[in-house]
Amino acid sequence: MMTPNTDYEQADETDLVRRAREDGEAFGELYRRYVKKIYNYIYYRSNNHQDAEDLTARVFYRALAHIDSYTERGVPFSAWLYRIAHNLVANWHRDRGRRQILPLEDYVTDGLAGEAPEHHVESQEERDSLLAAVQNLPEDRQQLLLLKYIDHLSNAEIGAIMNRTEGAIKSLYHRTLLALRDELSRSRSRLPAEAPPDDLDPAD
Amino acid sequence: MASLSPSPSHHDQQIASVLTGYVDGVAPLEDLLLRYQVARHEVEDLIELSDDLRAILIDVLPSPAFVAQLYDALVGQSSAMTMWNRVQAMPPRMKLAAGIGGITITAGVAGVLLITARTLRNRFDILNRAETPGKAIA
Repeated sequence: MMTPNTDYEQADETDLVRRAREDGEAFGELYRRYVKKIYNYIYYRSNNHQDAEDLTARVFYRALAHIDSYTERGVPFSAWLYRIAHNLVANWHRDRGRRQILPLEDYVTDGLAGEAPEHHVESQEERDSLLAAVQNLPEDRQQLLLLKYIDHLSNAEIGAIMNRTEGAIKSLYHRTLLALRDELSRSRSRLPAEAPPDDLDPAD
Repeated sequence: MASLSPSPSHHDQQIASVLTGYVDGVAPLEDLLLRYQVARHEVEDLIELSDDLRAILIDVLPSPAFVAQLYDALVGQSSAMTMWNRVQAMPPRMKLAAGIGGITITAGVAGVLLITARTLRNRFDILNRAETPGKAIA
């Protein structure tokens, strides 16, 4: 990897964007600051590393190609990047004509190693169920959850990306949780009831 | 259970504030409940759901090789674009001069390469004939 220009590491973002129109290393610093967040966001919208890498690259190539036309006007550079990412992912989904459910082998698990196997399976199923419910949400609600939980953005920052007010995002977040809760209740009610274990001893 | 009225009531907004404050780590849940006058049972299931979301929506890092390769490609492309932009921004006379200069240099380099290649080929032919008895040397 080319050695990043350390002069840019502490640079103000507005100054970096201005320099990036003339200096590739300034754009490189912008890339370095946002590549993981953008990748994270795209990964959960695409569900596999290959497509996430491809789409992430396209986001930054597009940003580079249009850096001259970017003007802040109340929309931070990061918000502009996320908008590019959102549009590319939306087009990608439309072109593919379907939403992918995360394959189990790609599922990232964490903190389950110490649990008993039956509890692990139950947790895994619940997690799969919740992830599927998230991925079945309308795009704007998915985007909100990913920006909130993956990229840890505030309502104000999310509002700048989604072109809504901070209050609107707060309200949308509330409604999204309610919708998720209801969807999970519906999916659980569709599951067959569990039979009692055969070895249960009434004397115990 | 919170209502889903089109215009959220004041209490719905208070609940939304608790939920946002909780996920953003603004304050402990108890403090938020007190601040916004919301009963625990009104948000308990949504708080649990928020915790579940936090457990499954975790960071997925890109491979370091991908990050490095894309960096090199972007910075390299950016430098090339900057050079192109600079040429495009030149006044016409300078652009013409730059173009003529470029052609001249290219022709000169090509000429040197051709002469060198011919010289090397001639020497190779001489050596080749010297190793093969009976062949006349030109």
